[in-house]
Amino acid sequence: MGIQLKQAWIAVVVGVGVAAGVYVVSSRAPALAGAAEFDRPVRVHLDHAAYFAAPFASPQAVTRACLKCHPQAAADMMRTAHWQWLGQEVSIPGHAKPQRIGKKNLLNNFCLTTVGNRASCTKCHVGYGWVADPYDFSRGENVDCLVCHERTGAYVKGEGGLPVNGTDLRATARSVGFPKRENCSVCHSYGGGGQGVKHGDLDSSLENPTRDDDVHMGQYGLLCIDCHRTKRHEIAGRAFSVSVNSDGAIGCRDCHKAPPHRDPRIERHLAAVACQTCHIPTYARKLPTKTFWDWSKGGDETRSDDPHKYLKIKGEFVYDHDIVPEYGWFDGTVERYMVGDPMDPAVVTDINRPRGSLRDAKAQIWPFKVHRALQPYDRKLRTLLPPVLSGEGGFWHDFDWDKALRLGAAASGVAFSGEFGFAKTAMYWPLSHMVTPKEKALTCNDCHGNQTRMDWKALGYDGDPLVVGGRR
Amino acid sequence: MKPHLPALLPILACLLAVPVLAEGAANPMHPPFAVFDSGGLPILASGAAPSSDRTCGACHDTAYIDRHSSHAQDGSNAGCVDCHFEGGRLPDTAESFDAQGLLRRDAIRISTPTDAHCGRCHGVVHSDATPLALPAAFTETQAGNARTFALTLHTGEVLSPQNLSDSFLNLQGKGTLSFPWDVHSRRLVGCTACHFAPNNPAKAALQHTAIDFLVRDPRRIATSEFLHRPDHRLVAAGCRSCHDATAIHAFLPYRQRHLDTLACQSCHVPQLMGPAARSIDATVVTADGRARIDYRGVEPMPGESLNSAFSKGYVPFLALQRDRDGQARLAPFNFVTRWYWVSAMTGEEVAADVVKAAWRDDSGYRPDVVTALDGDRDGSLSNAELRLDSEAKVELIRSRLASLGVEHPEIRGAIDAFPIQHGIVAGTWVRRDCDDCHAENSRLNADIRLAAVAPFGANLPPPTGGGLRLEGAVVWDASARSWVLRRDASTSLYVFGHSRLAWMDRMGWLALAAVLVGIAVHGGLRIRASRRHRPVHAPGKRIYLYSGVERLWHWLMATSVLVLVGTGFEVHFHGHFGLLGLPVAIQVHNFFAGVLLVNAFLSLFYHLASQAIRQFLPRTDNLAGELRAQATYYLRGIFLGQPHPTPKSRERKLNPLQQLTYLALLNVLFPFQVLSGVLIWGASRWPDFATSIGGLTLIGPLHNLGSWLFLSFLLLHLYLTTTGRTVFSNVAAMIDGWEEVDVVDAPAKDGTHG
Repeated sequence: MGIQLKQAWIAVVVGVGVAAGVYVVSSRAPALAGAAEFDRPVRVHLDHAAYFAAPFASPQAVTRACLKCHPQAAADMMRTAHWQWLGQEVSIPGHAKPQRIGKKNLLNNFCLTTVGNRASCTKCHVGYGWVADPYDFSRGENVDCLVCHERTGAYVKGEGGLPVNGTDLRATARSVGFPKRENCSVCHSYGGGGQGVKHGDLDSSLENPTRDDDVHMGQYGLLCIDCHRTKRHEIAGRAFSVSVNSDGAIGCRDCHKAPPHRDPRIERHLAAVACQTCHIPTYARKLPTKTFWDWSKGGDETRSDDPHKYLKIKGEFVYDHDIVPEYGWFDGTVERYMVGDPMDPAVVTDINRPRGSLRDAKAQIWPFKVHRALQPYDRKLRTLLPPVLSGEGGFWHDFDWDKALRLGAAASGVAFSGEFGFAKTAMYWPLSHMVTPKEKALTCNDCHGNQTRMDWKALGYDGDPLVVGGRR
Repeated sequence: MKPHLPALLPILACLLAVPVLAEGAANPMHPPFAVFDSGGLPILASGAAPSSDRTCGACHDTAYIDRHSSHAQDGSNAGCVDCHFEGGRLPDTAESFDAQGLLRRDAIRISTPTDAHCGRCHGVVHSDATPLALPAAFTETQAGNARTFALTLHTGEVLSPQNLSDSFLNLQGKGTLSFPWDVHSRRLVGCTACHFAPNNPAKAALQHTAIDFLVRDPRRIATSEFLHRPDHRLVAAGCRSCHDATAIHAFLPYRQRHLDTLACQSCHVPQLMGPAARSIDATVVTADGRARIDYRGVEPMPGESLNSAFSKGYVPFLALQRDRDGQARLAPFNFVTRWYWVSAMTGEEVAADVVKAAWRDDSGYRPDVVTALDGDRDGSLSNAELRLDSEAKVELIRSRLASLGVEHPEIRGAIDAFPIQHGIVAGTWVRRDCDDCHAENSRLNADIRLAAVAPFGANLPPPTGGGLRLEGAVVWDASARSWVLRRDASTSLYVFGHSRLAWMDRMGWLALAAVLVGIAVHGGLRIRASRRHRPVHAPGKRIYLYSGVERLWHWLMATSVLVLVGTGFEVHFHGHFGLLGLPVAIQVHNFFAGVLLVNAFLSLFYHLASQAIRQFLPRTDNLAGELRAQATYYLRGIFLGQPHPTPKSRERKLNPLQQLTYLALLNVLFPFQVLSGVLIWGASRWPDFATSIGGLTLIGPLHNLGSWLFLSFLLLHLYLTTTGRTVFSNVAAMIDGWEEVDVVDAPAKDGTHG
């Protein structure tokens, strides 16, 4: 009897202890499930200053020095779109054959095309000496290691991607390390000839951002390469100005596996609304971005130049800041206007129209920067025309559209009837940067109710889905 | 987290109640109609002002609506068009009408009243993207007479979906206030979602009074009947019409208790940042010709706008209020002190323009008023000088009013209580601090700051309004430099950590002190006596007296009781000392109460099963004699070194005094304490039962009484353990089980106490 009782007591005491432990542990507040999958990589930084004692005769000499220790780097780099300006072979909606597309052969509504304009466009090519076609894409020593890895901030690329005269190559080489935000920014914030021309959600304010500018980079100190993970110089991420699908794209859900929305009403939105829609309420919050470009006004001697309003070589612009995005369905793929495609000058030609609709379960409502332009087209053949801009005979040189378009048509291999006009075009830039802190995200009344930023009819609803119901 | 659909349904229903028709859009459903003047002629022909009665009355029963309208009865004279037509007026230009004289479709901008319509009279309502600022009209309002902005002026409530941090106002800690002025505005739940016509068939489900099975009652009125005779005595649907408080407060300790005693707003309106009046002095007239208003939490400098003045907001005052379900709950209020002139003959308030005429003429203050009030002789009246703080000053204005035709003017004061119903916050911004109430000096008895200035000779009756029960005295608080309402201790609610019976605590301390004094005297005498009389001990032998089980249950009991007393103290005197914090202290207290209870049941079983219970049953043959012997020993023998009168053995471990004490302890005090404790714990679970036996107001102090007795016993018990063979021999025996006892064949010589 005594023994059994003793065992009973021991069991009770142990039970009480375990219960107490469980009680204490369970009464603690659960940790907020934020970016569950994000583990900040520990990046070693080896100071390279000691390796480079002698001055370099040419930028290629720097690359050769890099390759001594990183022999695979150039070969890896040369496989990427950063080098080739072409992606993998893809099938493009409305085009029979799969083809490789990229900066090298596409047309846009900013500086229109790189074909025939290589020397000035390749300032942002990750290589040296691409001033004209053909260009030898197999020479590893022409890979520009410095533009992504240098940290002096004084390295500036000029025509053909070569560093400008007077660049201290040794000092630059000695500074190298893993790419910081500034390295990406020099091209991706300044593409199209200046800050904020192309991306509305990338500009120099993100080099040292505040929490309000971008919560990832401002509050948590993330670098571009923390999300745009890189493997053997292949950088993850997609830009729909040059890509047509989401292969290799990255997204919020890569880290935020289970978004911590405590309100089930918000949770229900995720089926139809991209994270970015609520979490990027406005873009270009600090610095202005270009929203409209009228090439037809170019070449006017009488107007004075102002980089945000008018340039003789480029025409008239509209810049704006703290812009409410335009919203549309997007399933991660876009249509693409290819050089030579037919177009109708009576309507706006979409260069890269996002695909998806209310009826498409894969599509979500996304925020876009839409860049609109008036750009040259062939009145007779009804195609958009890629002009030559820089160099002999280019528009920037002679201010003669006819000559520039003839040269451009020849370079791109399209027909030109000789009659040209200016047609309305639009490019769509889905927004993913400049994510605000959560308390500034959109809330119910920003989209629902009277007179909001959402044009529900345009999105295909009968009215505010709060009233008429969401898609079924 | 999976959406809890049934819980969401009422919320969705509420959201769907948002007017389908966007503000400013033409109404596609309302039939075209002609607009008539009061004579029944089309206004295009007569050119006269449109008449609601004639125009709307052509189809709707306006006479019925007038008789059944909360707005018709309060003197505001709001007509149909004021609340139902965009902009509050009917179009009167020719291009708004078609050839037949009917309003064109795009001009029929009729809708359920929007928030903007309500905001035109009731308070600050703001729904566009511009930073929220108080309109200029807000400060120009003649408070006390006009009704405009009354909601905001009286409570500080502002209805806007905008975050406080995005507003224009100069708020304290503005950057951190990233929550909306009113979460319902944010969620597009407009005024009419809760304030609707009681006979609106579409709202039948939302009326709390409706019996569930009647919601789909086919006998309810048809839509056409409703549109003909909509009852305009608007409902004020409470939180519980849409929200199931029980379901969403699973995290809340003592949930039902809290939900029964706290209005939702008590936690969901932690602070109001809008300009709420503290006092409205309509006996004086300011330089811009209005009553003088002092605000809570914001003191604009002379000439400064309320928008730029630094505003700290205020924490609403909690007071018991009889709720619509009959339950008395603590709800947040603002108290506004109001001084005003009345005619003693008629009892009516003197109109604002009459008071103004008494003070001022067209050019400014009257010279005799300036002479009487100008303290610093600078020829103008500063804000500080603008007060009727002496008999002469009051007399001057009184005579002026009398000369203006007011019969026997005199000053009255009132404290108006305004319940706070809007400005709701949700989520992380909800007030979650237990100490708000559960502390001796908490929001439950906090002084209510009233006016800073009282006119000479005027006094304030206790607050009225809002179904309120509040008693206290109006006293001058020098440190706050204002009059305050010092509240009487609330006896109708027993709030742990806050409520205490002072006399019970006093008695408890006394009992404790008496025990300590007794111990000190007895112990002192023992020490003195031990020098003269060495205690005589019979030859002893060490026996295994206490089995492991007995020792385990004793120490478990001891630990539990000690922890219970300690945590009970923390709960009872919360705010005086804090070790664990209230929630943890309560959890620990409840946990060890459970340990104690399980321990008690198991040991009861053990004592019954092993017959060890006999140890506690006094022998009845010579009980009186044994008791006398034991008492005599404690009072006398112990000092003389005499041996213990009761022999201690395995068969008899307790002396008769101990037996009696433990019988009382275990059969009276222990069950009493367990029962009262369970009732307190259960007050939230079975509130009706707790209420039927007097509620926490009775049970709380009883449990408290028990704990004082337990504590006294504990001290006495501890002291008596020292009366063994040596000071620590009894304690040691309870630890290892072995004790040296007198040899059994030398009876009636030894006894031990513990």
